[in-house]
Amino acid sequence: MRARHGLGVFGAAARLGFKQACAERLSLLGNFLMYAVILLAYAGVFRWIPADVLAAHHVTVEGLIAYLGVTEFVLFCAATAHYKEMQSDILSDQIHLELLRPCPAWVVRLGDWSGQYAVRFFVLFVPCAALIFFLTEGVVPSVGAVVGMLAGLPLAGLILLGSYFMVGVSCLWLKQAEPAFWVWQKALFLLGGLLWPLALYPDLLARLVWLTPFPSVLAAPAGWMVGADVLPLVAGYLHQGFWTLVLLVLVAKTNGAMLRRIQNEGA
Amino acid sequence: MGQALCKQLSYIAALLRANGKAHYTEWKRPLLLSAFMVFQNFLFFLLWVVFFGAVRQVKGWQLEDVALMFGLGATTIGLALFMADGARTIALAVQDGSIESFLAKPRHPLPALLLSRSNAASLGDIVSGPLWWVFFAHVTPWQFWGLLGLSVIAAVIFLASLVMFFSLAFWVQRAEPLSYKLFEILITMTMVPQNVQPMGLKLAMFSVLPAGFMVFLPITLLRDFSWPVLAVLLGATVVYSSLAVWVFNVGVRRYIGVNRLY
Repeated sequence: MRARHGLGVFGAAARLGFKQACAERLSLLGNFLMYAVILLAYAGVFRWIPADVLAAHHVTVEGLIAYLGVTEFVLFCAATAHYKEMQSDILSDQIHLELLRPCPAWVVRLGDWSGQYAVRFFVLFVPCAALIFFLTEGVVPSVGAVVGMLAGLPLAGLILLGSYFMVGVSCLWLKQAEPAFWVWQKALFLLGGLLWPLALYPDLLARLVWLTPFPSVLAAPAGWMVGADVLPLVAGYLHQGFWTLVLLVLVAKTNGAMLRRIQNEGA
Repeated sequence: MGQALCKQLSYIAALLRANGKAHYTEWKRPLLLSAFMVFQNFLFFLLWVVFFGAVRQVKGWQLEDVALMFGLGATTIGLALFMADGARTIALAVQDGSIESFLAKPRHPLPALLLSRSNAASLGDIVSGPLWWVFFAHVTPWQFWGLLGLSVIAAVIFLASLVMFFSLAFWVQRAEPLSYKLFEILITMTMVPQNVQPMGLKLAMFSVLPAGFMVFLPITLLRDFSWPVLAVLLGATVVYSSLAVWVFNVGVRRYIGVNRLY
């Protein structure tokens, strides 16, 4: 019953977030411009990687471009401004209004942000895919690879949004969430394999990163663009599933800690 | 004219002193933010360490060259945002009308607007550059001082670009998100090897998004100094600065004109 109610609230919040994101056309345009610049710039770098190096790591230029296209797409669908929005509401006491609701604040927030994520996903998908198609000179990944990649995107987004929630709430203890966000984001870039696949990483590091949640956000869905072995890619879903559960527990606990902190000491 | 210039410079110095005092009164916060900034820069740079560990070189560029570029970009951006982060508030000030408090003053509003805010965390970026140059790019002492000078020039170009991006708000409603994206795009372009870019992107880097003037030309000067290239760089600094002031002035005239209608 509680779970049904929570899902209902999540859905309602998602619809609100959907409408809000639809109204921000300039922001969507800006997102695509930035995405295009990043892809163009790094495609330029990839094209100059010596062929023997590519062969040694079992990657192609087209695969690298598609990989980067997917990792950046995941990031662009989830606005980094969410953690600032959380921080701003906490510091301005707006959060009190959310804490009065019968449903936990994290359910409403993640619902809202998921709706916005969905808008960016649907609006940006075609232009981003077209850009990747153009930059790879028409080299299209297999249907299985595309389906595998798409299947990994929802959980990747959810983990990202949940992380933003926790980073934003950290301002209650750290006074400012920015430093936590910077370190978390750059750790995501490095350990999640944002710019290049884990195949280019040193062996030990490429294995150790899977002990962290970061590959489930970026490397797991994007790996379908460069990976040949299906088994490790499918195992990526298990990694995502595990970290999604961990994240939801952590987000719920963070919400509880936030509530206790505000009740005891104020924002 | 000399007297007017001196007055303007002392006014700017007073604004900078005020910002410095604000940071000094709670010095722990800027220090902590700067330390986190250096650490996050290091984490991002590790991506390139991983890349060049696998790839070795890209069109002759190796890790040391990227360290040079990275450090130059960081110091440039850090200088601009530490001194004049108010550039990023122009769009919001136009939107909510708070720019009128600057327009009401007898002096030109732009210096006060630019110096109305200082980003404490940018100290970390300023410090990152020299660290990268020394530990990863292995520059000589002469090159080190040359890079510092070039960073100042590049910071002026970067600041001029920010003024133009955020002045979009004078013409476009709710332009702030777009202005921020242009700001982020410019930063991204300073952090990518520019010698490998296609012609279209290079054209953009030397025009609407002057990352080429901020990073590529200074590194070219450092490697192989030539007076014509220095002249081009200094000329670009003058052009972008003048353009920024002109765009801002036109925007202000439009703002005042539109407000008079109501």
